[in-house]
Amino acid sequence: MTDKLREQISALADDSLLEGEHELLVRRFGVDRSLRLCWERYHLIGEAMRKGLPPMDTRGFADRIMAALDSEAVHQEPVRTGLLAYMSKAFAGMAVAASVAAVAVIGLRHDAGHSNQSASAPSEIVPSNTGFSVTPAAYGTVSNATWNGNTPDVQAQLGNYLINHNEMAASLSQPGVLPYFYIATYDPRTQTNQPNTRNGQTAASQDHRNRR
Amino acid sequence: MTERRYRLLLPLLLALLLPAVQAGTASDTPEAWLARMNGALRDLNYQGTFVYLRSDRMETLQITHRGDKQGGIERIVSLTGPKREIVRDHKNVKCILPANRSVLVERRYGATSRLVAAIPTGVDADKLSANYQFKDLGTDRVAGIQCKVIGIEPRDGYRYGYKLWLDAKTAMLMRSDLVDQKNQLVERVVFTSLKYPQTISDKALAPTEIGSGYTWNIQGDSEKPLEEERDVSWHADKLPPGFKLSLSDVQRVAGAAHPVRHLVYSDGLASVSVFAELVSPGRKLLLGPSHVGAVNAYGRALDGRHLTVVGEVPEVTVEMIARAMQLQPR
Repeated sequence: MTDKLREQISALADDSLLEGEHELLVRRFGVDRSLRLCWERYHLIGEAMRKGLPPMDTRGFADRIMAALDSEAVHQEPVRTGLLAYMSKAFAGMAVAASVAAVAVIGLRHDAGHSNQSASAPSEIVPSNTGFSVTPAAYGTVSNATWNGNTPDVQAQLGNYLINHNEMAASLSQPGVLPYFYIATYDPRTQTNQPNTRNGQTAASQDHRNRR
Repeated sequence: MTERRYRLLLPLLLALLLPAVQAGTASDTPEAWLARMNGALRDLNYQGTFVYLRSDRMETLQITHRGDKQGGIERIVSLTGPKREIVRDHKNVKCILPANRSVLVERRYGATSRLVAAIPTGVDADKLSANYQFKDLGTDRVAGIQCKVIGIEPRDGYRYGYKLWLDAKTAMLMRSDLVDQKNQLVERVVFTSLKYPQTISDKALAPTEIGSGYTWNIQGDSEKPLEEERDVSWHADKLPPGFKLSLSDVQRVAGAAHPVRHLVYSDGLASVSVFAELVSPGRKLLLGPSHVGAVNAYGRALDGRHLTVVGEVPEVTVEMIARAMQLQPR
């Protein structure tokens, strides 16, 4: 990756990229994974500096931030414009360390409320008057799951239904921008293609059991 | 002026000032901010980068939106992970998944749709207050922009709540935290940069990832008559508190072999879709629960048909609705 590209990515993260360069750079994201990874690192650093990291999965985010810094230090020359222009190494280290520490404190508080949750644990938010028991997916198990444990056919159909639902829901009440994150963040690499014990059965087989 | 004169003038002054005070207050309520947010998301031109977080997963995406009274045109591109692109124009939603070499096309339901023309939009605070509590959470900054922070807290476990950061000048949504009844974060969307361009070109909104040899799945391709599903009706025995039937129609959904009955239940803010279709032999469909992010789904087979319930609500809600559905032949 050239210094010029790094400067452009940094400028994009800092919202200071020239108008004419914007579209071209985004197109290059589409064909160059290293650019996308660089972009993600810059965002993490930027979020850490703004203390905007989420109060969850502290270790993972801290590791990512540190890895990002290590990667920047080993592989890249300092960028002279944009986001990193604000960061001397010493300041950057302090800022990130402080942010990570802050996130760690919040994360510990968050973890304390979730440490006992698992896929089989009862959810705290299930109302008691529902008349049936459920085994909800705990917050901690959401991580890499997308339509968890279902076959690609089932996932595809659920994706179709979700898009259709979003369009209707957007018309009814909420604006229709947010739900598209679920589609736009669809990652086939995170799929588990083996059906679990409940999902991915044929509907006809369960219907047969229901009738018995 | 004597004290007596003050006493005489005071009611008059109050009478003159009160309407102005009330008007000022009304325009600054959480409900008023939410109404402005809906308008901003639809009407403004904006271009920005946002981060989507859930648990340990983070995705960065770019959105370009050209506002108009027909709901706007927009393009969302993933900047991390596999390439994905979504383009919404006035008629369709195209989801382009280059990794799968496929394009999914669904019809868009805008303000001019025959289905939604009679449905009220916007936030009706009076109706929502039974299930949500609105709060003014002060001010904060997001991506360097001063924001108004609004809280929408659920009163029970059948729905999620929101914390919304809105641009203090435009009411544009800058950050959204989805939280559960315990106020625990479920997922977060936050803009890291945002611009409001005067104009947005057609080129900036055109899909760029569609290649040759892609498989197109288009809603409405099915030749099955819609009447196939219009001959039956569905009834829900016991719904989660506050949820009512908002919409019922038969339509074709991409990938479905038969026409699908689509029912939408809403509490005014959250909505849940029920999709009912005839089962084709060997076709695999969801049975039981599943989820993607905060969206939960529940599948159930019933009397030769299959129900899929989908919504951005807790799992207990989709399961309860799925179990409540009953088929009633006409």
